[in-house]
Amino acid sequence: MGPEQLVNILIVGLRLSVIYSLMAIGFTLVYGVGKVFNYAHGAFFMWGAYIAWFLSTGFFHLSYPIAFIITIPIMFFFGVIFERIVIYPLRGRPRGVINIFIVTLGAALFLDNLALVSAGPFRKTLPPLLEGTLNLGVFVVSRHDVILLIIAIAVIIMLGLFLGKTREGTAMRAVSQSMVAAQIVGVPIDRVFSYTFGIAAILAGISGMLLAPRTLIFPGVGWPIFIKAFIIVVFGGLGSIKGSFWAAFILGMIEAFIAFFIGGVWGLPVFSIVFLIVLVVRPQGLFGTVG
Amino acid sequence: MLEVNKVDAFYGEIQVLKEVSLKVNDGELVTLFGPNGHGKSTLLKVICGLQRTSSGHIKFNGIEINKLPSHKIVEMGIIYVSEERHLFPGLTVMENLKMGAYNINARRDEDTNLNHIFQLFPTLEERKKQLASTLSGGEGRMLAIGRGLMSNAKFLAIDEPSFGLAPHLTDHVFRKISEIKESGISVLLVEQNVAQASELANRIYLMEDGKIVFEGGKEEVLSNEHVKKAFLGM
Amino acid sequence: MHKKVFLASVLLLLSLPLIFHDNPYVMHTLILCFIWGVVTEAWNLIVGYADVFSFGQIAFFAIAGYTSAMVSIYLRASSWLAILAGAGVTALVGIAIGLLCLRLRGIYIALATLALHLVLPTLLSQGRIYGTGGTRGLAGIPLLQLGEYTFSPISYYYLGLAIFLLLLFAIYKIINSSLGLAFISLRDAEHFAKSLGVNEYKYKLMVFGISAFITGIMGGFYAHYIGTISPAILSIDLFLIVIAMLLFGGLGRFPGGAIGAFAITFANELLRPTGTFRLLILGAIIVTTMLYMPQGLIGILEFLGRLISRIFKGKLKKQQN
Repeated sequence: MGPEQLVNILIVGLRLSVIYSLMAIGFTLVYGVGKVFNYAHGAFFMWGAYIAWFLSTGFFHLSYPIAFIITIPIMFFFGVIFERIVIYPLRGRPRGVINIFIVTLGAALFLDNLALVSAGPFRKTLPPLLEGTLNLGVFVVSRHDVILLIIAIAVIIMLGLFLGKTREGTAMRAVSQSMVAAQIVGVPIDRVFSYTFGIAAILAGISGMLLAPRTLIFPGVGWPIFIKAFIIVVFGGLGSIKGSFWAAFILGMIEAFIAFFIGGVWGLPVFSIVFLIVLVVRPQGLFGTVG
Repeated sequence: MLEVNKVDAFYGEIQVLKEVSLKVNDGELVTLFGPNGHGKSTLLKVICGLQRTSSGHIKFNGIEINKLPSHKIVEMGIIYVSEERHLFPGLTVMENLKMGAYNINARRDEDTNLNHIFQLFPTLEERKKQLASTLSGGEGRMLAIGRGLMSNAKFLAIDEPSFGLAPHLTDHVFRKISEIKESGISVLLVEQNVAQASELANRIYLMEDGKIVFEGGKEEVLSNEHVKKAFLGM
Repeated sequence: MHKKVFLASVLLLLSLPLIFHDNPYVMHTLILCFIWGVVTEAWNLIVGYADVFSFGQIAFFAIAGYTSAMVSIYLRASSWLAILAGAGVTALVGIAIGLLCLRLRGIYIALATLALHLVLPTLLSQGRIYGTGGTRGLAGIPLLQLGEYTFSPISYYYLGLAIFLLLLFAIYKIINSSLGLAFISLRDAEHFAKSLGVNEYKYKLMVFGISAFITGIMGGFYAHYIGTISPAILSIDLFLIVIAMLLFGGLGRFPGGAIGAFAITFANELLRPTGTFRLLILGAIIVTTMLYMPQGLIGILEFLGRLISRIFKGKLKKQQN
């Protein structure tokens, strides 16, 4: 394996890692703040791509970068409305967590087939954000990949700042530590749950839009990546953003190497084996806490 | 100031509060005694919006609050200090106190309040960089009360502050609560420590089985043999 | 009251072929109801009674189906033995999974069993050299035979019905046995039950094994009825449909699973004309059931039953007066 191939693997790995990172962080945010496993998170990924497609190639024929930008607030509302309709009614109930697990599964089925019904079963393609390639010395990378990395990393940094410095972000962190304590100090819990879902939807939607030009979009495209995302989240530690970030990088790189050496189709099984090992050896993951 | 009027509350099928009515006037410290599990904590939670009432209403300075979301109730100055403290375990003492000033009204006065609280509880100032999860029982209680004060409290609903504390700490906590009351904040205090808590009280309520069964001043309660034996184990 | 309903249903099921014997589609749908009814009810044992959030039921089903198919095809064993073998292997797998997972906290068990469900298709697809038939799966699984006689759709129906009733009866017995009581006591008063020496871990392990075995029998039956089996059995769509069956009928209430299976299977078939809207509607059913009907169909049926008996009592009183 020559240096050129190594760089290619690293680029693939990096690309996978940042996308997984965005998906995983979105998922773990929702879990951390609301203690909710949103099984429809993959559907958000898919719908982000589909909405961008509708806005660009599909109907409105806007340029893809513009479609990208417009989709972001749409995804936010998508997430907020989803929370209100599907999650909010179940929040107080006993067995809440497992009920929400199942209801989000049903919602995912619904959303998948909504895409099927609206856009048809045929795979759609999206143009890359930027056409063409970039020459870095000996290596050639696609411009889209470069902008993908830049956008993804920018989003992660912005999220970090949001959580650390803004009032709303602090509220999210407070709720994730103790919902009752947050209520006691006057944090508007319902509002926090709403916009947490909105943010998670944005993160998933951006992942979808960034990855879509490289892959095709079809109903159910969100599942493989969602499954990997939650394995990453458990590996990193439920509720820990730092954990999701690092786990995404580790597993993304591993997947790139696996894809090169034994084939991409083994990505998911290897992830699942890692998952089972984590559950048996250290269920709280890298940075999670026990209990 | 605070008027609770025929309030009911349920845990699933079980009725925990049965037409409870009570009043706390401006500047008063009112104590609520009664056996465990008979609804005292639930009443405090209902007042502070952490739990819903199915009928009846609660008024604060004339405004009906029982249908408001909890954060609006906090904005009005009604603060809950839980028996379980409910601190932010991953934050330091200082950060916990600052979180107490989360609501809009309190943020302006954050620095003033912080100074005031450090005067009231010097131990907290000493430990301000410590993680809340590392505090002892008594210190945690102080932090919970301090954090409550940071919210610009006009009314504190305090649940069993002396629970699990050694006697000298209990004295300390009650002295502080008394100081807080003297500074003009009204208090509704739920307690098991009848002897000390009744010393502080302007008025006393007794709750049994989700109902208010007695209301009176300190002298009335302590001179009523029946009440003393039946409810206070004296 | 319940016994009457039960007897009436059994009689109904026994007589249905007389009406529908020349409608293979209806027969097939009913057989599917029997199959999924048992699988769902066996799942109900784990999730509803033992309170373990396992998502591995269809994985058990698939393992049993594949095992019995492979035993039939490669070992040329009799189909009946193959089905038993499949069930036995699945029971062992169930216990193995139980050993791995039961020490974990609730939600982790869900994730672990989900992971099993998700890994399996790839393992099966890539396992061509091990005889799993790859992505297409296995075809040509021999149909059931008794001597020279090969089962016809009607005989499959009656056999399916018989196994359905037998296994449901077995589940009923388990729920009402000391094992079942142990679980109800654990569910309602955990500390007290444990202080009396109820060994939660051991019982949960037993439930895993029993539930897997029962599911396994139906898995083998399925393979030897349809004649083929493929990784498609583990698709997300089917997974969610079976979950819908469990919820819709009534979690933790016997025979909610079976009732849900019948309801959803028929709904699924009735919705086929709607084409692509079918799964959309099913998804909506899952969501609305969870939100507004947590007691499931059984809850609704019970409510109606009470309503009816109250009306009858009212009428009786009027007659007396």
